[in-house]
Amino acid sequence: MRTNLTNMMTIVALAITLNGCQSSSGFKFSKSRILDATMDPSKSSPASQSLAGSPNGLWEKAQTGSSSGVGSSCPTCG
Amino acid sequence: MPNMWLMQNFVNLILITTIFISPQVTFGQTKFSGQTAAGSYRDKSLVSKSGSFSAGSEFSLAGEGNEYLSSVQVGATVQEVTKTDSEEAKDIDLQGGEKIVSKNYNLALSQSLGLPQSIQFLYSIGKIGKYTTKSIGGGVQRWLIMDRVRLGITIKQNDTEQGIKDYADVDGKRVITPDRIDGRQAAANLMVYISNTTIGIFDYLYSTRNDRPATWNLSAQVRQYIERANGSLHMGLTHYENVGSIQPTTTYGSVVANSTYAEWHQKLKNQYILMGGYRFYVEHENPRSVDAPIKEVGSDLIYTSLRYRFNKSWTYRSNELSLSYGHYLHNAGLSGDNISLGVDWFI
Repeated sequence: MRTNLTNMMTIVALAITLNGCQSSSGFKFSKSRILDATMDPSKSSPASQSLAGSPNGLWEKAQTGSSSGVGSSCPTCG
Repeated sequence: MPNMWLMQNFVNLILITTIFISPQVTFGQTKFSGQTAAGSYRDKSLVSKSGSFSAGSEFSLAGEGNEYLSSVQVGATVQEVTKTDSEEAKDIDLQGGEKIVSKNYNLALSQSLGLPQSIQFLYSIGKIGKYTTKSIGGGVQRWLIMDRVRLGITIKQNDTEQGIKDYADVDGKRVITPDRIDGRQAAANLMVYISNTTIGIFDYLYSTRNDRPATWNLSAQVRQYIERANGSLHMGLTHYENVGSIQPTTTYGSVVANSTYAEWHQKLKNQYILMGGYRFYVEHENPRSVDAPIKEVGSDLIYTSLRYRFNKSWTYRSNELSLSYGHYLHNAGLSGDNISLGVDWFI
């Protein structure tokens, strides 16, 4: 069952790659907007990253990305 | 056996990653980037050490243009949490032990469809102590208004093992937690480039799992560059709800939480960014069990970071080093400190 799942993942990955190779469209991605480094949207707020430990709020744990096992990584998320 | 399975899956991730990176040898330009970070959090109840590594490649499958941009990203995180001998640590249950090690590996593949949209494939596998967590999903990103409004939607299927707990809760009801939790998540992200100096970021997450009512949360952020001050102001709000009929199969009752934060990012000299921020968090809990006695949670987080950029241009991404520090205060009297060091690199 597990082997089937991983094989399926490999096939999906290959299919996506091949799809990318075979596409032929004239559309172009536009260049990303040029932004200042102080507002780079790819960087999350340190408030959601800096606590790797054990804040006590349930949702707080999920927000901080903790996988401390105190409760669990996100006790109320699916 | 579980370790063997974890190893097999990790090898599969590497194989898939290799398949995706290999086209760059034949097809056009490639860019590599990555992030590495190590951190530690400490309060009276526990000590946590964590490390993370992620690396990605962005490449074009169709010559020198960027019409069919592809990307692959792999990541790994490791965290070790150890209880202290203090009174404050007596209620902490690290899956029944004094120490717990968590590991997680993830893979994200993205492929442009030649239109202003791309599709993604997401997979992660990990261990929290001796229990396995898995997640598989996919997503779509599309510019609704080119270069101005971008929508991203992702869905995930999660499968999490956990230890069975059997005890009487505050109502005298017998609580038996399941050994496996199945869940699903749907998320939407809206990125609005209002101008070159103003960005709005909006996120919505809806999450279900088989032992609790559905959860949803919403967050809104604004980032404003102020040219006269050579810096940016970031502000954000979040709202979270997990309410409804809660059966005696779970440790926690209903939860409603809100948070808000503000940060100032100041450019210094030609290559430094100094940041100072504050976040306030409040949560209302309706605990089911004697294991969760707190009904009102409030916390403050004061944090700062210093980034050093190797590139002197402020408008391009750069290799950089960062040092962060945060001080956490909880209304139950607990306080802790976090420190972390990070490296971002681009080739």
